[in-house]
Amino acid sequence: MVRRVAVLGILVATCVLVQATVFSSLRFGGIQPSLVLLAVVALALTDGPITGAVFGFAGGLASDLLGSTPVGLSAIVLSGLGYGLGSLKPYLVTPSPLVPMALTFAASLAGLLGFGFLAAMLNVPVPPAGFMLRAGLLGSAYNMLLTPFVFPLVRELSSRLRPQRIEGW
Amino acid sequence: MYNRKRRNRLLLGLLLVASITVVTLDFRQGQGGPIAHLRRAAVAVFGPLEEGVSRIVHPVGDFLSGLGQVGTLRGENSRLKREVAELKDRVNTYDDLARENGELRRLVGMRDERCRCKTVAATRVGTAPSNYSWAITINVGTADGVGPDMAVINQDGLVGKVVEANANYAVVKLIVDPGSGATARVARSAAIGRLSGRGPSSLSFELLDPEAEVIVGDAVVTAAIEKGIFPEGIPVGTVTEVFRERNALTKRVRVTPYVDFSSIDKVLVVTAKATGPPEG
Repeated sequence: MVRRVAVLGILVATCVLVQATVFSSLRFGGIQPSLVLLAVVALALTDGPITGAVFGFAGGLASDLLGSTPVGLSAIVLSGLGYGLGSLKPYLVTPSPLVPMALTFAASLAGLLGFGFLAAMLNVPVPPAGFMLRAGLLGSAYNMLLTPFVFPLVRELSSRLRPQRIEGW
Repeated sequence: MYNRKRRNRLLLGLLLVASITVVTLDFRQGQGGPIAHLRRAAVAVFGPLEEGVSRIVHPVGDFLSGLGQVGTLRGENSRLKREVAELKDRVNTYDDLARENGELRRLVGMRDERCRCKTVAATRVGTAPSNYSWAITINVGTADGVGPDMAVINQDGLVGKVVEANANYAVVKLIVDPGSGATARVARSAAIGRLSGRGPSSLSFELLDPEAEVIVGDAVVTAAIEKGIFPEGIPVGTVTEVFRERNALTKRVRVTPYVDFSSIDKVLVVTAKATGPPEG
């Protein structure tokens, strides 16, 4: 269990790091993919709501700390997203790869727009609404395209670390 | 089963409360509070990691970002440059050094001629991992004389201001971030106004005088004010759109910045502004 927490912690740190260095160079039309969000979705769908929520919280917090937005906003959005998606896990039985992709798109859109909405509500300066919508759609599409690459990796990592007992978290 | 669901919900509730607490703390405490300390700690941890990874993946990142720009003249230019480099190793080294030399000369020119201030040179090591906030991490900190609320410029113009710094790394909020603000004036007519960020490469400039004279193509530079952060006369960008509004109290224009925020590399942090009246 300790090993699992440690490895997941390193996964959070790695995602934030890769996002901050490599992914910022992958901007397409000014938008970069959200690796942290992708990882949250993948983990939530593989491991359930608790892992999703905790990972979302940690990843969101780390992302905020390295940026210029008020700390905690991403944490709220991502932990909520992680929990919500994790709760869907028992209902996903089809092995079709399109399902995770569609879910990633929907989750990314909800996450990006939710963040913008929350920030606007808290009177945090945000870019104009038109831009946020465009960024949300483009970012979600970008994330969706990266799903077939990230998902299997996360699945593999998570199943390797699953405790021996039948019961998960 | 019932217990598991309840436990899950409780945990989520806990996480949400923790998040909201963090947001509130950040809002109310600002610079001195525990969240600022946490930020500095995060930058201290991630800073060196970002720098290390950046150094390794810079060529990969350049290649990938080149892919994203195929179709534009600049992308084509970078692609051709890379092809030449692959074929001629020595010429590649020479080209690289000459370019860097040119960039550094322009940096020095910006510092000495436009800004006339004391600066500390830095390189970008990371970018804020978010689509809605624009900030970068640079590899200088308090140990180099850099602290919060210092202006940051590069060879093309105004970049942003330092918001957080620990011993060796600092976070710079770019002027295109919606939370950024600066006082500026139209170079030609000296009409003064307030700049604010609007997203990836656009600024909103609100002139105090609704009758101010400004046309598309006018250059905009920073205007130093009492207790202001930004030095006088730093190039910001060009006016690309003037909005006509009847009976408005201010005049709004759109400004496209000179700096290319998607590829910032070397910057200068202004540690001390020029004292005394500018010459000429």
